Amino acid sequence: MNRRSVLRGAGVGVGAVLAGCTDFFETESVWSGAPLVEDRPEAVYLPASSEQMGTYGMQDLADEARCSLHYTYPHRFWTVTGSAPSRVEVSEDDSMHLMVSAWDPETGVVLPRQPTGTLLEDGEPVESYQLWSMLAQRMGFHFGNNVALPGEGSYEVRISFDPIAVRTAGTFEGRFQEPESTTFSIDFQSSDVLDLNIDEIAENRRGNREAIEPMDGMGPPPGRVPLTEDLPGTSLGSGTSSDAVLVGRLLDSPPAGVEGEGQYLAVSMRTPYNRIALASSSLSASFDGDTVDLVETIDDQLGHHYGVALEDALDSAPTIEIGSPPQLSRHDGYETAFFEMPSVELQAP
Amino acid sequence: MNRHVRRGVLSGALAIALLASIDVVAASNVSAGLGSRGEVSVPTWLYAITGGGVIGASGLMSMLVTDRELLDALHGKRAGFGIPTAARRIGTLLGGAIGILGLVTIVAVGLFGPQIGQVNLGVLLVFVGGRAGLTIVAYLFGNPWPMLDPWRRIASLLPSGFREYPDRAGTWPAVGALLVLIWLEVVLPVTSDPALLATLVLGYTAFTLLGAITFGEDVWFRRADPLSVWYRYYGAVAPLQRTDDGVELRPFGARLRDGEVFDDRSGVAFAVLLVAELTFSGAIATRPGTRVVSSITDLGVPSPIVYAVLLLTTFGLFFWAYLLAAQRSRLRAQTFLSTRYLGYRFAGPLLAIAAGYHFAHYGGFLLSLWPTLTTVAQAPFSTLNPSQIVLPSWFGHVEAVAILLGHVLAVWLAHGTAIDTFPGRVQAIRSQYSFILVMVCFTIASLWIISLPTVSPI
Repeated sequence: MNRRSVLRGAGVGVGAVLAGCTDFFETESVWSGAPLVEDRPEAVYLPASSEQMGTYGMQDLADEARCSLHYTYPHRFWTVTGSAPSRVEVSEDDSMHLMVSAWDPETGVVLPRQPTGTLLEDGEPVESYQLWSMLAQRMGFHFGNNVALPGEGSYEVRISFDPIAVRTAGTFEGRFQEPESTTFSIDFQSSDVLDLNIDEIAENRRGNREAIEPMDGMGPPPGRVPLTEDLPGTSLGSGTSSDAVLVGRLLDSPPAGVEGEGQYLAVSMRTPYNRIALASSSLSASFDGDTVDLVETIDDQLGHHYGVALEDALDSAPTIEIGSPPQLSRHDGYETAFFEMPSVELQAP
Repeated sequence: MNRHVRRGVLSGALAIALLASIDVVAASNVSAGLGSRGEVSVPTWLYAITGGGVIGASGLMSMLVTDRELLDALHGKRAGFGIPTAARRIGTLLGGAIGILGLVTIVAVGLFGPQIGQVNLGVLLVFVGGRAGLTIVAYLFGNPWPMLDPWRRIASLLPSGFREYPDRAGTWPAVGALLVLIWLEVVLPVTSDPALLATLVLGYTAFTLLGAITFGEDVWFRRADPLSVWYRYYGAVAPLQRTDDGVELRPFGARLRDGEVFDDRSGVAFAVLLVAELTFSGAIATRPGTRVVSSITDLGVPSPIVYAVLLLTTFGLFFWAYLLAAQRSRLRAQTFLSTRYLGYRFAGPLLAIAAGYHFAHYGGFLLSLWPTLTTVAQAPFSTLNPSQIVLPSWFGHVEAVAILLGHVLAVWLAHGTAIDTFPGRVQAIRSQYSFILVMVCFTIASLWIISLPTVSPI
């Protein structure tokens, strides 16, 4: 055994120790340690920080819907099954958080229309991405997920949209009923993501019962519903349930595209502070001993809402029951609200 | 004597059994700011008191060894290794290059790299590399700083020594500068704002070079530069020590018994500050700590002032407790030696305590962010999602054991020092009572702090 073989042995040993270090210990993404507000209320609250986002552009679909592709830092979120959230941590191979929005450019109404993403390299698919419908304070209602890319460089991202999953009414009647797809050319550079700001929220404001203002006007609309006073029809009052705001309206006749005659009961369920539509929920209304299911609908006047055409004129106060909370994945600030949702009593017309 | 041994062994065994049953987590304001999460929290007064018991027991046990020859045989082992001049030159050159490259990287990546602490190489180098890593290397192996110190390298190329360094100032400028650094670390977002950190490093560079040019390189880096004194003191605990023609290997802490590490009260103050600083940084990152701070800020006092007052108070209290112990020790031992002399004769063990504390606060932090640092170092401008190690739950015990080992070493060294200082055995043993009492209190306080879950300081 000479000096050289000792040195070589030592080199191998050190290498093994270093490799063993990360093999022996469990590892996680540094983003797992992103600050989460302590003592979060069971309500919408101000999170610890908010991220800026970058854009890969906008595209118009053949049916005149518009869609956009955005990115930001990979971050944790909560998926929702039934009435329980489950936390999704950033995984170690995530490259960024990808976000898709689709909306009607005429009215700005956001379309609940499930997309899937496919990453193409030189025209060949290399990854496919599940995109969750999500609720975030700055971005509002959108679809997104943390995604892994094989590396930096040029790709295409094909976004395929399902036909719209809700009833279409008013000027939306009969629209968005076919699958559509479009392709974005992207140049993924980690440094582009790293150039985005993360705005920290002052420690003494974190956890307060308020929300960050959504980004309005500079990209995809956040999916806000109209102000209460701008909704058509007569007021049935409003109420809150697990911090969600439910606004009731009674229209003399259903909007175009809704089957049935007579009055139309519409319930607009939205987040407090920002009026983001709370989609993917199931609601029913009880009055005079009857219970009717409300159908999730988009309308150019009412925006996103849950509604039903009534056979008989409504003359008592309806109670709105929430059968299942919004099945939307949540970003920080929304993951503790809209779960245990008691019913809401509206007013008589 | 048998009774003493039995008691010591029993309390030791009990302590180990209790330690094994409890989870702990590291607390520090830096680790609260960078990544690592505090989730486990169990331990309690019992845990802390057990730790205190271990120190008391080890004090009793060490008092049984009063044979000077045995002590010298235990402490005095040393093996010297000569290093050829050529190798030393290459080492100096290489170390200097690494040090200057590190400084340039911290500033450049801090200013122009990603503005997010946990993926910014500048932030990681300062806190994972310097505050945690190099410091741990300094007390576990040997002081690496003289080889690396980039400021000293730059200063050595500049003209210097235009004013006489006032002898009276001692190490006080380093004490003051370290207090300011600790305070800035708490009140400014240095772990989350890399450009701010880079700017502070530039400011530190200007301050250091100005000082070195004015008063002379040697005296500035020995007396006034907080980082040099920091690493020199931590390095005094280590087994590897520099000699004139190379290095020598000695038992842990043996050099602290030589009595040449400290030569005045300001040096003792710096050693006390090392212990106080860790206690302070740890305490303000716990829930009771943040409660105290927020209860004062609620009265309208700005938090930077609250932190300044708390830091000075902690330091003042620790220094006072230490001086009181020195005074008590003088009375008990009925000696003609001055309190001042006893104060710095017994200050060495403080460094062993500081090393134990430091490992408890930053060992897990270093381990956890080591893969992050090495990954980001390979591509400082484009690493987006590096990994970190999830600390296993047993690591809490390593931290608690580090604190205890530091204290046990300190008790043992204090004993050795007492035997060296006083002619009579009984006198030597009596002199230690007050120091051991102070150490038991320190241990209880610090074990309690690391047992609490970490929260972000306000």
